[in-house]
Amino acid sequence: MSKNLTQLASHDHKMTSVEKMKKSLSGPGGTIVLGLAIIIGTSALWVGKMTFTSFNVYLILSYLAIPLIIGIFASFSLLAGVVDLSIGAMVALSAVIFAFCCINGINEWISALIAILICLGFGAINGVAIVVFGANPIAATLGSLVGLRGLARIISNNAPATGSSSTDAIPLMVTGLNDFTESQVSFMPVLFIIALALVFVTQGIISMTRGGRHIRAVGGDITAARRAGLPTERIKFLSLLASSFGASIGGILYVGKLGSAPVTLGTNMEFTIYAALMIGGYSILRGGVGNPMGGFLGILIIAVFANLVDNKGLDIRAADIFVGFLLLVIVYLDIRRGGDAFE
Amino acid sequence: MSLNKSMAIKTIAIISALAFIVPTTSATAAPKFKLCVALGGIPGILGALGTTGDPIAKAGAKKRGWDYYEVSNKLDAPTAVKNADLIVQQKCSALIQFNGRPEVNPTIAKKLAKAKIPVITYDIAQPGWYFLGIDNLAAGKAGGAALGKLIKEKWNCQPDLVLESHGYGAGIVDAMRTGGMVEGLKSVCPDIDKSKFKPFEGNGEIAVSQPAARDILAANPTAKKIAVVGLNDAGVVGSLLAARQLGSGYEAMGWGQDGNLIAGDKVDPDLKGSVLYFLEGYSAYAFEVLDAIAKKSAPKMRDGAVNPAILVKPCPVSAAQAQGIPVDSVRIKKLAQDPSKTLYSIYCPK
Amino acid sequence: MTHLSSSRFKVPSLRKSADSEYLATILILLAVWIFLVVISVINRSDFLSKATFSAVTFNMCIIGILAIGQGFVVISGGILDLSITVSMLITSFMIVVFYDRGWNTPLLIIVSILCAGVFGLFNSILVVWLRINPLIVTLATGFAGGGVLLIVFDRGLVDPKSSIADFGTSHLFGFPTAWWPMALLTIGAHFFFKYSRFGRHFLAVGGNPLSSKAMGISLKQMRVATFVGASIIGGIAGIVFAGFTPEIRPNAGTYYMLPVIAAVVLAGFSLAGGRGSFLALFVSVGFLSTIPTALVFFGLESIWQTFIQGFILIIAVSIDAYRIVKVKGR
Repeated sequence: MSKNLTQLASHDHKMTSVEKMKKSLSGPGGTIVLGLAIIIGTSALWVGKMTFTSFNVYLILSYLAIPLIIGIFASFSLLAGVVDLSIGAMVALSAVIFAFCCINGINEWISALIAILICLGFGAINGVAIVVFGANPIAATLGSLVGLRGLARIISNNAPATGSSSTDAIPLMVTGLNDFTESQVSFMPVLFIIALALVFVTQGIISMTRGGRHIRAVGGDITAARRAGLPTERIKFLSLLASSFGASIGGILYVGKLGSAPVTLGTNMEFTIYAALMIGGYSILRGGVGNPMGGFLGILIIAVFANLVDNKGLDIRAADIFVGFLLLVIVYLDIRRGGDAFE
Repeated sequence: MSLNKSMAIKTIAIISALAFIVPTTSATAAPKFKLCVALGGIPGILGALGTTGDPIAKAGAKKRGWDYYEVSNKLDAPTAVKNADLIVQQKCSALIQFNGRPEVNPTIAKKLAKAKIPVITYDIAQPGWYFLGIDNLAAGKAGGAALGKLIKEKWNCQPDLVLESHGYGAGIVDAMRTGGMVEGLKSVCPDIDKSKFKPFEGNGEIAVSQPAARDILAANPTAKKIAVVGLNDAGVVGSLLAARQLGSGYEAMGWGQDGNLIAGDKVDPDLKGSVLYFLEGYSAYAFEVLDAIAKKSAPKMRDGAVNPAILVKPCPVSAAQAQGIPVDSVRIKKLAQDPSKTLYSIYCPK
Repeated sequence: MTHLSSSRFKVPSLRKSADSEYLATILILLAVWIFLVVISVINRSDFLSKATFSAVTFNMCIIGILAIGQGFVVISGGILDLSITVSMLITSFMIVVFYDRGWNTPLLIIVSILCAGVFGLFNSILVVWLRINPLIVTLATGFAGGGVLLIVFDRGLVDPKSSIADFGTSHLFGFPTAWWPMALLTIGAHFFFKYSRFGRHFLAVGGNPLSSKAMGISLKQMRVATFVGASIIGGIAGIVFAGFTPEIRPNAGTYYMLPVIAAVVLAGFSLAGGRGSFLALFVSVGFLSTIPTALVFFGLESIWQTFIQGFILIIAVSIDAYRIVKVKGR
């Protein structure tokens, strides 16, 4: 593993520009871009010009924006080698707390702050279990997943009923937030512009700053990182806080977008987002690999394929089968190029 | 990290390429009527019309020479909202909506109203949408009353426990069906003590209702005569099985909703009856409204279960009466052969 | 998750110390279980009843079998099988298909389980020949498999008059009949891994694949055996599932995945492979299956169950990790 890391590092310094081009074309990014081109081409031929209408582009980007924001923050924990399975439940919890506070007459901004702080608190619990006690991240965050979903349901069931409301969701139209999640500049949803900016900023942090290098080092080879005197514990802890922060923001944005806080929100999101991030070059098995741009491409290719399925009105599970298939293909191609093979 | 840079450049290139290719005009001469259908999605909680699509709507649209488009709400709130945007994008002339996450219906309604797309909603009322379906509350009460009669006959209105197998995920539908069943039961047996009613989350699925019912039965060890009501047949059957699993001392009777497990030849012996909605055949009714919309003479808006555009009569059946009724996949084929009829007229025993 | 991989290269601890470690885990789990029972009895004296016993043992049946399959994968170094519920559902659906064609019961059970085995073979081919990490393989086949099941089957109806349905409701020697497959598999797995040569090979490739390879054990064969074996055990759970569930839905697997992983982790199985006790797994399944019943006795609504279960899991894995760190030192 450490060999891989040094290889990676040496590539950065020694590759000529031609090699760089070749490498980027054959890397996971290249495969995804090629895949995107194929899907968009198929869609152009099969669906027709609807593929390229500004509304369709808006549609794709608008619905991938929130998962992208959640995914980018969650990618910090992947990079540091502490996978956080609780993000989907955290999204639901944040949405439910936010709606619960709003509906009880608390100011929207303060409600959002409360939701974020509570989620950060549970992120800290994950952090204590994993970093202080040394619990396995998969096991500990699996516990949070189960527990937080339960908590979201308890809060939702105790919410005051409003009109014809159901017991399963807190209906709430925060008009300002709804307008914000629906707003757009030309065909670009504002939410997506923000998410994309986030991708670029985190890409910069990860690839260029010392902090980014430290996170990759902790995820890549923790013994070496510890020996180099890095604050490994603190980095892991902060990366878990980052992933719960992203999930809490995602939950609040969903309340705006959907006009209610369904307690089922984000079900299986941990799997769909991590599958997308793995397609984009991250790994849930070891830290230190992947970057936000790749993660963005992974989420984008799935969204574009889902759009093709949607526009053709194909069978609803075609997208799931595609995600499974694509994940295997991308990982296999990566192995063929000398990536991390199993045994 | 040049690798990432070139990836970034490529992505921007693709996105900007998409932006430039965007055609400015979309010539639509003499637009055809387009029927769109957004179905419930993952099967289970709301019965049929899950994955199999809606063959009746599709066939009817084909017969009329209409375009047809179908998506699934996947029992998922964000998907249901996204589908509303897809419906707008498809320039649908009318939409049949069956949404298992009704809490996002206001948001969906807002999007569709802006695009002036008329909506027919199945079973779940939403202001401004034509209501087609059963009166959930009436169906609940009918089932509850039928079970009540049995309880009066066999147990002299004295069950030890009444299990309410809710599916809270179905929201208002659950409140009306399961709650309606309790009301109907009380209308026959008004003196059952409040403490005998045990509501729990059964999620409308056997895999959830069964263990939950087992635990409740264990916590009420003296209760032996068990009555079961619930959101749907699966939630009720799961609880009936729980009583049978705990031993021979139990006597259980249940009455379901939706009729998913009462038809056909594989019926649980303790499921004494159910209420058939023939949900899979709703679209046969829908064309009455759809044809009017197509002729630009949209009917007056009637959007509530008490003031419905089209009321489907619920068909309460005892297990004995249901014996000749086949399962939904067979029924729908029969209806496709003769779409002028309704499943109620073909199958509901007089 | 570097510590997972790096621990593979440690010399496996002596068998004796491993045994005492398992014993400690079993005793701690038992103590917690008994504590739960005691406070439940103090709360309500009728907690100890035949009905409670039945409810808890029924709760154990499916989760217990799936946990043995999952434990088998974990201990053999296959990390996790995230598609094990697909194996279960394949068998359940095939039982319905063959029953409707009039096959006799023993034959249809064997063939249905073999169908799950074929699915496991597919998993293992991806793992062994394409060398894709099992967690990714089974995540992908779990996703795609669920989609395929939904398209192919939609739903399956089990005949309430069939012997499969009887199996799901009857009792044998004071326990639910459907409880026995789990009990027998537990005993079988315990002796298999402890005393048989083949079983110790699984432990060896799980704990230290490189040195076992050097000792002449074929890693490929062991991996194929692991994933086919896990799918077959998943298939056995499918028989119980068909017995419990007259209407089989393709999305039912979601209710089992998390409790199963929780049981395995709580039993002290190391996700790095090579370490774990099936007796501890039995106790862990029993403890987790008692929680929902006990909560109902405490008068808590069922919505509290998941909340409490989740945080018990976090606390348990934290304590377990802390204990191991203390024993071994940093």
